[in-house]
Amino acid sequence: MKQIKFIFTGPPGAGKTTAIATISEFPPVSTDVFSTDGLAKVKEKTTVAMDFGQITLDNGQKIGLYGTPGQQRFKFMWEILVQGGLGLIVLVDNRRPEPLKDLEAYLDNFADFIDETDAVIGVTCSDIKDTPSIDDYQELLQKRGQVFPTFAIDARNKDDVLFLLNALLTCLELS
Amino acid sequence: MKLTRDKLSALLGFKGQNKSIGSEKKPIHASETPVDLIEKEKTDSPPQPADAKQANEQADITDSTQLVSEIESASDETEVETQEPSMEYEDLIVVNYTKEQLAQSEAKLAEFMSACIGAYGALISTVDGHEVAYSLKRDLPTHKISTMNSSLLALGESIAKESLQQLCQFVILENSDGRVVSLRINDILMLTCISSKSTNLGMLLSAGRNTADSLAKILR
Repeated sequence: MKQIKFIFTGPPGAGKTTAIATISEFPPVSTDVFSTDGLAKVKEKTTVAMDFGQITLDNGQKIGLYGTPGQQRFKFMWEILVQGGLGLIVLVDNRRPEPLKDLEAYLDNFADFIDETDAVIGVTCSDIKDTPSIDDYQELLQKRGQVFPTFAIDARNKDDVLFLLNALLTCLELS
Repeated sequence: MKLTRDKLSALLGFKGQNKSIGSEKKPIHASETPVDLIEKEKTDSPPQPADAKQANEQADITDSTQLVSEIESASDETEVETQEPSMEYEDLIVVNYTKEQLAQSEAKLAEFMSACIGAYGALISTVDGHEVAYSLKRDLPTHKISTMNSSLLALGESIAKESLQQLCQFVILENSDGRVVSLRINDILMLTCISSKSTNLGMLLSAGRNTADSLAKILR
């Protein structure tokens, strides 16, 4: 059975590495190094190449979980990582100054990939900052002519991340 | 069966849209018309060390490698306008070194270049991809090389770990007309050495290691 490949992306600190570590059935491969710029105030380490984990569904289907670096300067890794991918999980950190613009930026950068596959959106840290709301995200997507399942999640919570994955699988099955 | 997004939205309880979803999936690349999340791609090189500038004029341009042209080409393609929001934190570089430290570091890089006849680039960068100092004999996209090599080194270290090996000492790219060697200086800095095949690998690794050790003492 061929392995499905899903890609996690989103701004630095949104919880991509954490989400993969939360559900991966083995300790994920990570390429985290010390942050040496302003990000160090937010988090000590940052992903500079990729994260990789795996989860096996009840039917034996294996899903490879690939995390991208968040920073634009690692865009070359985004282009490598989406190759062969079947779906995109965009995590957005609600604490950042402009989460809606963050989301738009990633949707634009991964537009070709999303057009051919599908995407779901997970909003993290909405318990810390509750605006914009999920409705605001949906409204933004509607304006863009896009519909993607959007949920508030805690990247440390296995059920939350699995729910996101299930939503993406459902979208793919229905398409 | 082919469902529209309206139907999917209704099933999942989301607001409807009018885009249909095809059933065929094929692996593709990320957007071919990228939108910059942050900033105009760095094209203005930082001040170049005098010795490198002089050496640059003397460099044999006809000997330029394919690697150089490819990287330069890629650099040109990615030049796009600045767009908010910023995903970068480069305006707040935490790692700061004095001018004296940087001058000493550049001198060490120049020494390395002298020791390795075929070397045409030596770069100090942070492990998360920010350039710190460099010495060049050819025009290279230092910003891009710094970032890409930070990914490469991190991958090399992860592969070593997964292979139950310890302490990745070098990541070596052996190309048809040259080599690129990356190694750590300390926890937050790395060194990238770029050479043609005029210098043998042993010499390149040895000089690279010695330079990294010296730099570790300078850039504490």
